[in-house]
Amino acid sequence: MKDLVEHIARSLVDHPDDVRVTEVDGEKTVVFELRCHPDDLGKVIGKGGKTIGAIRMLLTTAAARQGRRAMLEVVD
Amino acid sequence: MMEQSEISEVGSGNVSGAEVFRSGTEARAELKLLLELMGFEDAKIELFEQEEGEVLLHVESTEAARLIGRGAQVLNALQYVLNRIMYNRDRASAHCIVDVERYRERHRDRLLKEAFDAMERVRRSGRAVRLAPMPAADRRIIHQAVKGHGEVRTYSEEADEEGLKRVVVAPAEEQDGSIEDA
Repeated sequence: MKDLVEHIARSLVDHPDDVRVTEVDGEKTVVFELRCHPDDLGKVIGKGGKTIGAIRMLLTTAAARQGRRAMLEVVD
Repeated sequence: MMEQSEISEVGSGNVSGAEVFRSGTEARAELKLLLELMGFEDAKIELFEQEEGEVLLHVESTEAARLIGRGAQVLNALQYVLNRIMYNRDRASAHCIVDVERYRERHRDRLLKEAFDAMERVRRSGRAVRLAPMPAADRRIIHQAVKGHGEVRTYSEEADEEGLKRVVVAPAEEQDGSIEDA
């Protein structure tokens, strides 16, 4: 799941080397924190949050397949 | 495969056939990778060139329902993310439509039936019919299906709490204003 978020984020930005994803494991929910170059925030979030919403949807689907819950937060 | 149409969000106008194929092949590899990273290793993807420089990537998977999602949310997210990625790599990438087990084709047929049923009701009763809330791409299919049938017209009503608008199929000439729900 971390690989998925990392791969998508790196593929969308101008500074892929600045993408960092950290995983915080909870009991039932795993939280991913996404950090990127400040200039790339708009690319990762998208107009009206459309891009980050789509990434969350794919992450949720990947997690559900393993019977887990996942959350994704963009940290700036 | 049936002709598919959709508003293109990113991508290109005048691309040659060979370019479209090359671009589509790259998109197929990327989609395969995305699906693998999501845990859907069994997915098989076929590539079809569409009209107007679009590419259709058709996915077969034993977990189709999960890949489509409620109201095609997952399918649309996949398509959106894939197109953003391909566009970021190459501004001239062909726009890709992602489908799973012909969901979009079947969904389009259902919408067309809904549009024609509503038209029939309006013709018989002379009263407007309001359809269920649906996303813009679906409303577009309804508007286009009804267009050109002189005695009825369509318009969209304001969005509900979830941001979805509803299409109203109405008599071409304004009546008393009463609307029935479909």
